[in-house]
Order: sequence, then structure tokens, then C-alpha cells
Amino acid sequence: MDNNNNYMSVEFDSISNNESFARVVVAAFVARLNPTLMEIADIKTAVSEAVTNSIIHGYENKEGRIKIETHIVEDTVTIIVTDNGVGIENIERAMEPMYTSKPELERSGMGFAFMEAFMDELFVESEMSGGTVVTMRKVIGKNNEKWDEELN
Amino acid sequence: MMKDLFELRDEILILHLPDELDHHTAGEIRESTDDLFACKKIRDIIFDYSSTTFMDSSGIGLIMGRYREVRYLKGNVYLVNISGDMERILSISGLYRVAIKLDTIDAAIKDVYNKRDKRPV
Repeated sequence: MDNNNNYMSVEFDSISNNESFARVVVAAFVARLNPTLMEIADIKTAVSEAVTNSIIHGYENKEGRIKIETHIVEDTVTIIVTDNGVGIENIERAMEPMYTSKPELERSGMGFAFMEAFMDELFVESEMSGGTVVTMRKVIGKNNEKWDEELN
Repeated sequence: MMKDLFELRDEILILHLPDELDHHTAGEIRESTDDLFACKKIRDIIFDYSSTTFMDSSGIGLIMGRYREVRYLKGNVYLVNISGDMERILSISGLYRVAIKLDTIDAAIKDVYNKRDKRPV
């Protein structure tokens, strides 16, 4: 068994109380890659954004299940957040910073912008009435090397 | 858990934010502040980050929403006791374009009084 490859999956009800659980469980799983505190903070924020989107937009605060899969391959973490909610009509528009389809709920429109800012890669697939799959990827330890190079 | 979250003095609302500010806790805070805004006059808000270690875009939405409320009375929103982690997300969010960042609650209160003195009543 290769220690550098690992997979984890967790599924939970679409309720806001589970947002903190979701980001903590992914952070705990990624911890074995020995990430910096900043990398952990980045992952927690990105997971929180994706899960919150599923709760508010995917399931519109109604019943549903959210699944998070996390793959670790070498030093790369891939996080896949899946819901079977209403889907996103226009992904491009949804990803514009400051755009929100629910201004009445005081959404800042920064969710996808934060996922993009804090992760290395972000892919969004969605089907109306089918659901949404958000895939995010981050290489752990990359910035440390960069800092080392800058120092040398 | 949400006890001692607020202090209200001289039409300044001081809001001690929780450890984690996400969609869930922001919703709870919004409900409580809506009640306060309904029955008290609030001109300025100070968000105290001294206990906060996590915030996502829902927290940004909460602050933007409160900013809109105090702007009616030409008040200000202050962010104080910001740690390194919070600094990063706050600067990316662009909130500093509308909110005033200061070191402490006392510094924010002082700034409120300075601005009120200058403001024609």
C-alpha cells in the first residue's frame, strides 16, 4: 500500500450546522501531508464555500445530501463536492466575482472567487435539476519550495 | 454560546464575532442584529475579530449587509483585532474599501466620536 495515495469519502445532510464538520474533516484528512497553517486555512475556506453553495443554492435550504470525496496523490489534494440539487443555470455568470443569484440572503458573491483564489485548480460541472460537482485541486508544499528558492 | 455577543453604547454596536464565522454562525448573528436594529438606534458598528480564527464569504456578506444598514445614518463599520489569517481573507474580499480597519475597540470608539464631532447634526 502506497502511503502517498489515499482516498476518503463522507456524505452528510444539507444543513448549515454541517459546514464546520465538512471543512474540519477534510482538513484533518489532509493534515498528514504536513501542510502549512495557511494551506489548511485555504482548504477549509474552499470546502466551506463549496458546501455552503450546495446548501443554499443547490438544495435551496431544503433537504438533501452532500458528498465530499478527497483524493491524495503524492503531494496533490483533489476535493470533489457533489450535490444532487437544482444545478447552476449559467456557470460562467455564477463564477463572476460579486455576482450572486441570492442578494436577499446577503450572499457576497465571493464563493467561487475564494475557491479559485485559495486552490490551484477549480472545475465546476452542473446539470439543471441534476446537481453540481465542484472539483478543486491543490498542491501541498509548493509554496514552501518557492520560499526556499527565494531565500537561496 | 451566543451570549455576550453584543454591547451597545452610545449608538455604537460592538459585535464580538465567534470563533468561526461561516454561513451557519453568520445567520445566527444576522437574526440577533436584525432584532437590535429594529428596536434600537445604531449608527456605527465595531466588529471585534479577537476570537475569530475562521471566516468565509458568508462572513463577508454579513459585514456588507450591516454596512448598508449603518450607511443610512451615515455611520461606519469598523473591523478590529484582525489576526494574520483574517487579514488575508479580508484584504482579498475588498471589504477594506468600505470598512475601517483599526487595532482595538477603543481606537474604533475614539474614531467614531471624532467623526461625529465633525459631522453636522
